[in-house]
Amino acid sequence: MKLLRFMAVALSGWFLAGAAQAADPVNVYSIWPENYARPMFQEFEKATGIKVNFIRFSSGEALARVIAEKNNPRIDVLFGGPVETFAAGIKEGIFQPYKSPSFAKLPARFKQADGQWTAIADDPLVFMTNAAFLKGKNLKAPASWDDLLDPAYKNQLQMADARTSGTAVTRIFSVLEVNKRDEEKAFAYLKKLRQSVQLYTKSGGGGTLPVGLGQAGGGIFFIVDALETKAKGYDVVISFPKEGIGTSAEAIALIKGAKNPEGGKKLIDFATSAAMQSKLSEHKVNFVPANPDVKTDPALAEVLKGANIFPIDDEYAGANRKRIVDRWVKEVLGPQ
Amino acid sequence: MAARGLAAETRRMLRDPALLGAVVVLWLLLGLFVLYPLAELLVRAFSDEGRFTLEPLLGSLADSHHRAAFVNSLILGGTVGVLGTVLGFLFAMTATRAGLGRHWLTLLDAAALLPLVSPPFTTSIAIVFSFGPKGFISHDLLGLDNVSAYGFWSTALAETLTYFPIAYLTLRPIIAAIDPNLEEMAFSLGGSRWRIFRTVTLPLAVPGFANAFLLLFAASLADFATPLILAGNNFPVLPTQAYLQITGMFDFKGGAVLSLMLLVPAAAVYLLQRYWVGRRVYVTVTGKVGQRSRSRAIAPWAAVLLVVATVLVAVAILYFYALLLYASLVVAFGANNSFTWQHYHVIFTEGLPAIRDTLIIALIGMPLGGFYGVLVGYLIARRRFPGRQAMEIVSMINYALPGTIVGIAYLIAFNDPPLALTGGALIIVACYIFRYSPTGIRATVALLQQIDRSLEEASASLGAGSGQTFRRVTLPLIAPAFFAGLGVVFIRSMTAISATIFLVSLSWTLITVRILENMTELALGPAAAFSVFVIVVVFVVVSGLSALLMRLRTPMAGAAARSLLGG
Amino acid sequence: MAATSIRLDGVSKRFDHTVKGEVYAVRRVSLSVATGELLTLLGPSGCGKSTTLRMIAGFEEPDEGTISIDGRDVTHVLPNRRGIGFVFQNYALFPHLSIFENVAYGLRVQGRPETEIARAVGEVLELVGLAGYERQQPHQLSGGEQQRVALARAVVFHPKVLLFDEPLSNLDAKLRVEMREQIRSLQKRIGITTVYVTHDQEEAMAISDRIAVMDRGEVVQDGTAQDLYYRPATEFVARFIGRTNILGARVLSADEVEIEGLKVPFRSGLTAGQTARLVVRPEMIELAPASTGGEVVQHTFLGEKTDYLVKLGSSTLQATASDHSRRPILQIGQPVAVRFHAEGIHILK
Repeated sequence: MKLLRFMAVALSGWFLAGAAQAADPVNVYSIWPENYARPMFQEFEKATGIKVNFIRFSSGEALARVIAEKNNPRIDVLFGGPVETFAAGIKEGIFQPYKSPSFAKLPARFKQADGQWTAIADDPLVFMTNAAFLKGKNLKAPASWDDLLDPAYKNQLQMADARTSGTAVTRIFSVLEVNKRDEEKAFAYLKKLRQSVQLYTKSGGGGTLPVGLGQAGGGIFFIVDALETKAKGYDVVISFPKEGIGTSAEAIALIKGAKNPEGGKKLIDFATSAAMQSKLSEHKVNFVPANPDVKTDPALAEVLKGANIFPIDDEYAGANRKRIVDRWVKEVLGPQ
Repeated sequence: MAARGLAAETRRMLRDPALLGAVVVLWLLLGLFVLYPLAELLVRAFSDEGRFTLEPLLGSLADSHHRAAFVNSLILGGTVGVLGTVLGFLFAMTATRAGLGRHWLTLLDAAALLPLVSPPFTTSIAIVFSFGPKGFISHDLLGLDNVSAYGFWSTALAETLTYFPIAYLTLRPIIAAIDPNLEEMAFSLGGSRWRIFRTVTLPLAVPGFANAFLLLFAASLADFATPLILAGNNFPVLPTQAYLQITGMFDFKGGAVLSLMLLVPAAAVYLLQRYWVGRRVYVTVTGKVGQRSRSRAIAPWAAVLLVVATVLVAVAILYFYALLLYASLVVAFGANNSFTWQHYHVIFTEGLPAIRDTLIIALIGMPLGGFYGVLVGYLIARRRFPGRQAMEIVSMINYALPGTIVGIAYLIAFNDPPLALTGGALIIVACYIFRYSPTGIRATVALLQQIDRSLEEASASLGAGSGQTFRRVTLPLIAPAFFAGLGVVFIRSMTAISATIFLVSLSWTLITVRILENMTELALGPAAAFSVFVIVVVFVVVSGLSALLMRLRTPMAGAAARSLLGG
Repeated sequence: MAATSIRLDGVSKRFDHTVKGEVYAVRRVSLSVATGELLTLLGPSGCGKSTTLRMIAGFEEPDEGTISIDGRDVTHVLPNRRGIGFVFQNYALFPHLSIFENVAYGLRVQGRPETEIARAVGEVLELVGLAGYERQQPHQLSGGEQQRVALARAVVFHPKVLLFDEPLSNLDAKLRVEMREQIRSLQKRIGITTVYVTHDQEEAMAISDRIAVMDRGEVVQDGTAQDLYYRPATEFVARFIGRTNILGARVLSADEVEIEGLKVPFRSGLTAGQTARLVVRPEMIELAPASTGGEVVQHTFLGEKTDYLVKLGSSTLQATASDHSRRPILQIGQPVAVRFHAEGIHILK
């Protein structure tokens, strides 16, 4: 009888709460896809013995969750994901500033001044097109933003939806930078680009498979997703626009009110240092490391050679994100 | 006058401890898991800093994108309702009138029921691969170029194929119950076959049409998964918009408002169904469905046509699932078609937590949902107590609402202490129970309508109190409804996504959410493997329950087995 | 004087009718049933007899008045605590239980030991003539057999009161007669206080100690079968029980009245010149061939008797002749002399 009661209590406790056990693992929402995040967390566990419990959300979902859970945080760390997602979160007051040992050596664009977030990787955007499609239309891989406006690309492109994906926001701000922050010119371009777009996908990499399969002719993606597609065996071509294209840092942050801040800090230390970033290449995760002590994977460096890549100004992006995205939704996404 | 009746009912209830206890407990549960979250959602949508405001609502209505989503949802629902009803009717006619052999009938049934027991996205994935610009069918077979797989028509097609089985299950017993003697008699009186169909068969089937249409309309209205994949950006619909508003724009208010906009048509459908179509719903549970031999009222050529049409549709459905199976067994669908078990390996290793969690939750929710459904159904149908009508309506709310609303409401309501349930399994189990038990409730009510009240009075006259009567007499007789309730909760627990996508957490994740994640990460193999796994498990459990039902000696068992899948 | 076993005092039950508004199903009914007595509630459908019975059982609660069983006020007591046995019109046998289990139900609920249950069930099944049926399922039995099981079930646990709600309506005529005999003999043998509801006046008369006739929610007359037959209180009762003639009469003198022009010796107790309505049973009218008088309009030969319809003045009389050895059947159109037997006349008040 006593055993029964004990079991009932234990079971209900476990059942009711979102349970972190006594081993004090770190709870994480990862914006990085599972097959990128999981190896990194396994490396962390190998290095420190601390287990990581994580669940993957796209950047919009993750941020929404963290904000919803503000009064009662379920996680310790928000891992990966474009910087501008973190910038939006700062306003909501969900992060706990923390500077890891690597913080000092990082260039200014890879960190938030107060330590609210720290970059762990860099991720340039690329154009990715289907080789068979190009051949069929007798086209060369697109080398300019205006190339994508070519009628041959009508209804052929897939790219991310700015409401849910950081990829899209980076893309839109790239267009803004290329147009010297002239919003009218930038939005004129984006509206024209709309003609070429078959689908705005929920997640940043959502269009890569259709492009790989030839159901879409091409799209704009982060390099890490594009190379993953190529690695899977799909015949795709990666190219860069001569006017330049943006790159977005991937960041990590400690959650305010985290139940296991010590573990979280250890994870941040790990992720911002060579300890994790040197493993990226090994596990074929094609991010460019943020920590200057780590060399870029040679194959990756080869792909990036000669490309015109510029960083997105985080302050500018953070301050205008909501407005720009709202405008994009109204003017570009809206019913045509 | 009503007050006097109310006082009498209250006194009677107070004197009956079993009844009183049950009513109190149920109201507590309903209050906590149905009314409270909905209230929180309304507060969130209509208040700003504590003041009541209509601004978010007006803002949403002013937004052309959101207005478009509202209109689109209605159009889509209407289209799916009509197409699905027609398709279901065709299948029902074929099943009951064309004189098919037993094996063909089984094939037909299997094809028709497959979509109902499947996880979301199965039809969507298949359509994308079949009808896209480089689609298997559109490009490779038909040589068409640049066909878009996205938009209104593909969404409508996918939803029609997914939900028409509901129409089939609704219409089949009605058509089967149409006495073939009527048709034979009309025939012998010299009417042409077409005339008979027009003047005898069709009018008798009309109530079934209305009901099927409404059920399909509601299902489409609430469908979040299919439009997520297929609707594209030119055809926004409400449930997907609400979801994106919250998860993309982190705009709870906006999401709440959009969800509430869904409430309007959903409530309208529910009311229409209840008060206008009304009792017809219960025919599906009690109608005796036997296999009719070929009726002479159908011309041989018409029968052949029917069979051909339905077999074509059945084949199309099976094709979609074959595609799914194929995708689960090749390395990279479309790029690397070499055979591999790897994806199944992945789902049973990395995906094992999701499998374990989903099964645990389903297996816990199943009996709880079953009992809850039976208890509520019994109280509503048989006992008189104050607030009975209110309880009936409240118990149906979470079922009538689209899943997105319920999920969002639960997320909002249960995140903060003292009721911080998010992150646990209880919230998911509760969501399933209160959302999917109503099928069991309705089955119980329908069954009880067939069981004479005098049986319970007899038990009382023999000295048994409420609890004893319920246990010894009622429960054994409504066992079929109980099993139907069990089945529905299990199926839904394995395949639902729209509500629970908001409720997964670090500790508890669900297969359907994993499928979605895999799809967005383009890990098509594991997504397909998970889907196949779910289909197999659900099929096995449902077949087991059906077999069990058939064994029960009570008269209503067979029909309840059918209602199992119609919920 | 036997102690009163059931007592109803001023019991009323209202319900809301969608069209008529508030309607009385039962209106201020007062009845008493002595211990061991069989009282029948008799009346046309809708008269409130079933509702009254169900209130005694506890399935419905009265809006006014009190009900007591053996001196205990049970007006608001739940049915399972009243100690009643109820036999339903549709038998209400539990379809999922065997005959044995059906009958044993009440004893099981009481928690009686297995051996006692087995003995009691065996005895009562023997009593209703169904020994050996224990293992059968209800659907395997005929209507009459099912009703006997229902009866057995209702008495096996020794209730204080036995209630019957039109138990024989679903049976065919011959079976009805057989069954009512059985019910009556069983009731007498156990000596249990019984209230019986039926719309069949012949059934009521055959088995009851007393009959309460109900019409539109009220008890119109309460008495023995003979009371009701020979001294009906109202025209309604007169017409409901047996066949009857209701005739207008003019009082000629203290011991003579005029009916349809005929002078009939009868002590009416009224004064000359007053009018009265009289009840005359068909068997109290004698017909004889004559040259003038009434005219035979119809005859129905039924074996042991012949029914006649006779036109007399402005009335059509029902008359019954039961002795054919002396009188031949009268022909249609035959003029007949009509004679009223004074002891068979009853004045309606």
